Amino acid sequence: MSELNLVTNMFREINDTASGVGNCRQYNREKFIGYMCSYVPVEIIMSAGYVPFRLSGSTRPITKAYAYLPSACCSVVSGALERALQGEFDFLSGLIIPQTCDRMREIFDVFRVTTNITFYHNLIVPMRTDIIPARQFYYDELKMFIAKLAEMSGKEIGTDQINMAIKNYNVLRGLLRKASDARISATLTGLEYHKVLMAAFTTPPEKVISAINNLLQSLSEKRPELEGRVRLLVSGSVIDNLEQIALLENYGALVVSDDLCYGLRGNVGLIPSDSKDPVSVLAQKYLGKINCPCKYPSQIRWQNILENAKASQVDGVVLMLKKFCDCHWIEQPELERRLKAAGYPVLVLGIDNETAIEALRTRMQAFLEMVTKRKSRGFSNDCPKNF
Amino acid sequence: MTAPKTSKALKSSQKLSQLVKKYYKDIHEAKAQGKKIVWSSGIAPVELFHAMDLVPVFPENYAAACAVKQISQDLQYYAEKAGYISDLCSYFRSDIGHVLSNCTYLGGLPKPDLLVASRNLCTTHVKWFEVLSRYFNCPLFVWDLPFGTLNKKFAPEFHRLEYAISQLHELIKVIENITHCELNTWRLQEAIFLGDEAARLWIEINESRKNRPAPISCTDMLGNLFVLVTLSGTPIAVEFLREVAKEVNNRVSNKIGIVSQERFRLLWDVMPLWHHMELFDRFQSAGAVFVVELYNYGRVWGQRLDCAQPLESLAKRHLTHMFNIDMDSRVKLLREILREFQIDGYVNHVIRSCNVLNGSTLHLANKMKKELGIPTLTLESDHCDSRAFAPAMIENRIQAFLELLEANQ
Ligand code: SF4
Ligand code: SF4
Ligand code: SF4
Repeated sequence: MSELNLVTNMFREINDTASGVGNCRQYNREKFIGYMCSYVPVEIIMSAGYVPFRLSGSTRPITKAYAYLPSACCSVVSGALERALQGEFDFLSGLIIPQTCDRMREIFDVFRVTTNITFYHNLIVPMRTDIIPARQFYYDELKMFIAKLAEMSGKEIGTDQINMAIKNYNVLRGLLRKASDARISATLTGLEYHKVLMAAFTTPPEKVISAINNLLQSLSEKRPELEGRVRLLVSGSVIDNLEQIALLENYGALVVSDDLCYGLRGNVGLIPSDSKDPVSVLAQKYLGKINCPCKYPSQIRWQNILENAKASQVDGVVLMLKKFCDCHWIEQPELERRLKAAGYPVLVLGIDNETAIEALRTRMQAFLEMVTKRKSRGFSNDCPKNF
Repeated sequence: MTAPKTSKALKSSQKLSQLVKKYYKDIHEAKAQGKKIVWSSGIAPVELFHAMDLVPVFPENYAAACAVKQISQDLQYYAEKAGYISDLCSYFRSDIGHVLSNCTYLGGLPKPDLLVASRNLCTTHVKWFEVLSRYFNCPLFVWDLPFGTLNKKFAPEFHRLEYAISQLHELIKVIENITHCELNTWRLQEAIFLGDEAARLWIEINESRKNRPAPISCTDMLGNLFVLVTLSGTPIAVEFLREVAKEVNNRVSNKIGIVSQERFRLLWDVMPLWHHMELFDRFQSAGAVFVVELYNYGRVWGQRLDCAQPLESLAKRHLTHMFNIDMDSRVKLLREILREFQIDGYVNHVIRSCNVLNGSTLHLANKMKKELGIPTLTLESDHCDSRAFAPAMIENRIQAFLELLEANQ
């Protein structure tokens, strides 16, 4: 697994708090633009000559951020703001925060006035994904974003630049999809996959592309130690504490599929890279393909989760939801009901980055034991059961 | 538990309780007569509903009424039992509880024929109405009104306005399908005309509070808001608000205030603690009077309409209220309000279960405190969940705040 180490080291280096700036220098003085949420088209950031860097929280305690946030705030935002206040993101040339969930909608100005980052953009994303005027609106917003970025960077962001970035991300997303499939065939663990993703979201694409390529080629055909495990799909918003995935796998599970932001949610698939109007293509793909509960209507997302669960032959589903993440929690009872109706056992966990692993351990263990027993009794997952 | 009495100063406000009772009676009668009922989120194109013979019903309003009546906890219990965690919006939990428990307070709400959720404040609204849509097997229309900024004339950006208007056309078709009746432009113009008149009166009443002493209490204002939310676009609202305006103007001329000696003039930002409305009396007992609530005066309701451009003016009102615009525009509006109403202190209600307002209002209050040095009181509680009310802590904070105001005088 030395190839894997290569990828995960990239992630660790970039995220190494003590030397964030140093690491960026290591990448030929590349410039980074931070962003939050899957609705920010990274292709646009890349086409302006920047490396997109997705902000996440950390497991360190929050000491400064609550001066600016209510206590009922998810750990993605409180953690990211804490890191920003600690200066960990000072190396960023800018930060893009979209209007998506309720927390994100109102956090823009807090970041703008409390941190040292000089360029900010608040990208407005429509909530409806079912009508053409929404796409047109998002298109107009993306055009405004491009104009602002071009002005700041002094670079032309035209059709060619955007199409080139789309090509790069097509390659990267294709590889990430393969890495995800490697979970299904039990040649990559969920933890390994998530480490790769963390690297992919914070590292110059070309670096990570070659590293993932090498990694995928080095995968062995079979890993006997991963066979026969309880296969899980994990759903939620953002899991930025990988210990939580590790814990599930340490107890004999294998996370083979997901509905997560650092996961399949943001993987919009192949985007045509020869369009005369690439912004329109991006608007259509991002609005149409990302399955986030902050959007309306919801049915497509549920359908998608059920299809993924079936295709990856999971034995159960874990809803790992960030505390105070309303749009996920409000859909949880219905999602849980649908999953159970399709025969999947479901475990619901409320987490943040300070949730003691001990507190999760007992519930995970009990759930996995139950699923293991059920599996050994040969329950099929496709017939509705009143579980 | 019975609801404690809160003090309303105005005679005309007493008419409100009759109006509320009549409204709840009327909506049930309308349903029985086969009229179509729309359940709507609070900031809604209510004039359009009235013009198209839809009977609008507002779950938020009802949830607030249930909190005043002290029955929210029972309702929320049902929602929580159905799996909705207690961190979720307490309006939402109260409403789901009302549905699941067949709550009969004020007769409950008649079943919907259409659901309309505006997304000009939170995603919760839309998600909540999706839950209702499944439960009642009822069509849902989402009016997506993205956040944006304001130009110098307080107008939204062109593409934002276009997006909002295009959806209004869609909504009209949806309503026509339900009522089997085409939109009559004259009726729409009439409703917009009446809505504009109600808004004009509402602004007049609010602005009367610039006077010292302020002639109308915040309990009156928050109560009267009911009329604007549910009946704007009808002659009933205009008639009622005219009477309130008349009485208020009379009180201004005669210098009649809410308390015998008005000592401090305060701003309350968003929703009150509906379950503890007597909190306002606590302030008043120290001569501290609320003269602005951003909840009512933040361009949320009571923005002028234009019957020559009915849809455009409806769209503008819904896009540009205080909490659907960027922070710089909010600060600009707020600075003016603080100056014009001569505000001595700022009370920020950090609503535990409202993720969109708890962050934005805390930040706004922090900004004003930093910029103007205005004494600020932050109260962490909840609009509809009394479990988030810690009386001793709140009393301590209020006391310290009043002392600070005293020292500042
Ligand atoms: S869950 Fe949705 S809103 Fe939240 S970060 Fe992901 S895409 Fe954005
Ligand atoms: S965890 Fe939830 S509330 Fe927090 S930023 Fe993500 S989607 Fe928004
Ligand atoms: S209280 Fe907050 S979360 Fe609830 S409906 Fe109102 S704005 Fe939305």
